[in-house]
Amino acid sequence: MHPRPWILFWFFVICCHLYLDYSLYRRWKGWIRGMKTGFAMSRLKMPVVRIWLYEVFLQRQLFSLSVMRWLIHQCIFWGFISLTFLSLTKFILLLLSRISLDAGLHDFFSWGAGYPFTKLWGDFFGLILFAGCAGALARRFVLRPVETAHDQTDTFLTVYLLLMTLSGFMLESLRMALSPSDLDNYAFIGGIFMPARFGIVAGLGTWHAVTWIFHAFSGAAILAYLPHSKLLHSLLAPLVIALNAAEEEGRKDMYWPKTKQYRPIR
Amino acid sequence: MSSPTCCMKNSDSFTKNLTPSQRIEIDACTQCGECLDCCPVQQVTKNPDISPPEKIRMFREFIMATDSLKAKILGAKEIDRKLLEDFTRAVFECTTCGACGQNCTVGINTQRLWPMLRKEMVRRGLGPLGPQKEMPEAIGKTGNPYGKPAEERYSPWFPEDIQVVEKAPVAYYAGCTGAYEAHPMVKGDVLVLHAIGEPFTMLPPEEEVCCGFPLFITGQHDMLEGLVKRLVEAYQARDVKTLVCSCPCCVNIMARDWPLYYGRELPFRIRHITQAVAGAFAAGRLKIERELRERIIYHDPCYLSRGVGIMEEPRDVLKNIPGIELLEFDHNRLESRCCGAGGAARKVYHENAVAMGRLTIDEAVRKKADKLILSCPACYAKVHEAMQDHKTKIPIVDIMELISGLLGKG
Repeated sequence: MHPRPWILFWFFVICCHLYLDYSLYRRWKGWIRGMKTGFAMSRLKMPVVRIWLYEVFLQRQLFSLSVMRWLIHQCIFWGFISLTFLSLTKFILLLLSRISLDAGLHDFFSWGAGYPFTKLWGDFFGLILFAGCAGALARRFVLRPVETAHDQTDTFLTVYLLLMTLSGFMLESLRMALSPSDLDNYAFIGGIFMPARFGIVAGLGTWHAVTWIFHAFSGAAILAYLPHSKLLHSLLAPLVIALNAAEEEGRKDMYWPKTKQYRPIR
Repeated sequence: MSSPTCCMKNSDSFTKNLTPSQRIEIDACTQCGECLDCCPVQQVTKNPDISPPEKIRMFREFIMATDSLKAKILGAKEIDRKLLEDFTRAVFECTTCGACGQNCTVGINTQRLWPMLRKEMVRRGLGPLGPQKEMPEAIGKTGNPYGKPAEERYSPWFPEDIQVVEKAPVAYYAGCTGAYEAHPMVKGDVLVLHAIGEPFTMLPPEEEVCCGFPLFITGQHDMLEGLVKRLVEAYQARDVKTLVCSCPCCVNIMARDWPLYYGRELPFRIRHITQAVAGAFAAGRLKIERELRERIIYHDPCYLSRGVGIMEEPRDVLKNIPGIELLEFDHNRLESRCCGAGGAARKVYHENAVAMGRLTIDEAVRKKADKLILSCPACYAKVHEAMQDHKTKIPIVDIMELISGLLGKG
């Protein structure tokens, strides 16, 4: 394998992260500039929590509007969340292993008995994310539902996520080709992209380095792109749902939480 | 009128009237367009420039132009007045029915957001529009937004044989639109309340002033606190524990906003008339003996269904009529379609309101209903108006008008 530009990568990650933090801080400053309204934690009661869980994780509202759109969105949501969780966990375990506080979990998941689990998790949720992005593009350009209003940035974001997922599978297959292991069978999608299948037998190290650079840097760039893209709704929608539900709870409307019943599936 | 705006620059911040959660809502909109399909204004105008996502996109741009980092460093951009005027028209053309919020995939409460955007445009001197401007002065002088004399508030419709008591645990608030524009409706309310047999009180006509909803919905909030305190204290002085009202807009602002303007919890509870009447039927204090072999269709008012969640009580009341067949609109309960009367838009965008009202009439006729039943004075007045010069006709009846008619002898 060719050496990878780790220093440049971490520098890039830090820059993107700082930019994300700053952008969110700017937005936060803007939000709290509005009219002052009190928020009591005591409002976070069971109806609020229940509505939040239903809407954020099960996306009940979307389900009632369109089952197909709900399925696509659920694939993207769970795929994206699960892969982010995997990457973050691996990163945290790596840091903890440097100061011997990982309880051996880093080695366990990186090359021990937990390695198949990591592979299965990554490939399964990568496939889910890929299916979601492909479905979103197919819905947008093939099925063309009338209510869909979108601009080019929507397409860019979906293609961006699709390419990131694809590059992740390719990266895995190149690593498997360069350093085979008995546990590779667990990477059930990575096996499909094995370079030999595409007639690539030479220069695998270079392919691996290039793919790694694309995958790693585009992954980090999402941090900087998030506050300017529709990905922002992944942070704001749960916040809006929680705030509105808590406000209703505080106001004690006549029929809260019945007013949050959603329409039946059409 | 609202605060003076003559010296305000177009580059002044746009967020002064929004709560933090409303600011987050504006950022959270993904412009997915799911709300277009359910917007009644879109249905009749087909104008995407005034659609909910477009309004949010425009307002977001105004915020960016005045509050972004670039604006802080290089100075806020002076926004083209034509653009601001276009936005004002778009936000005032909305009926604030809340269907977009009901369908919003990120949970934006648009029925609360639009009035605040209107308030901002009022602060900038761009709104309200047309006759809406006259409402604060009319309310200040006469207590109602129609500018009609207080002495005519009850006299044309109040049944002579019914007496109200000075003090009682139950009070009835007629509301301006009902009292001045929908007499059969408020007369029906009083007759049914009387038939329940429980004594009730009412404020004298000069004391029963506007609930504040027309001012709230048109962004003219300056007088609200005074009106609310005046009414709450008047009812409190009459030992009222339950305030009954038939106007969904009044009920909405009473239940949701009066505590905010009053500064604390109200000393009485708010009830829509259908809640009181459904309770009376359930308790056996009211019974309809006469049979009515008709197919009736009930229209859910936006501020009653999406606003405060009252959807089953009107149906429960109607089901107490022997022989009745209750039909439903394709879009009912939380999904109901605005009849065009909402948000004070009918005062300015009359053609839209009439077109929406006619869609309601047409669907009722298509479903072969004998009567269209309403439970809102604004709907009552507007749908009647929409039927004038319309090829399709159907008897339009208020729910309490129908019930009171059946309670009578013969």
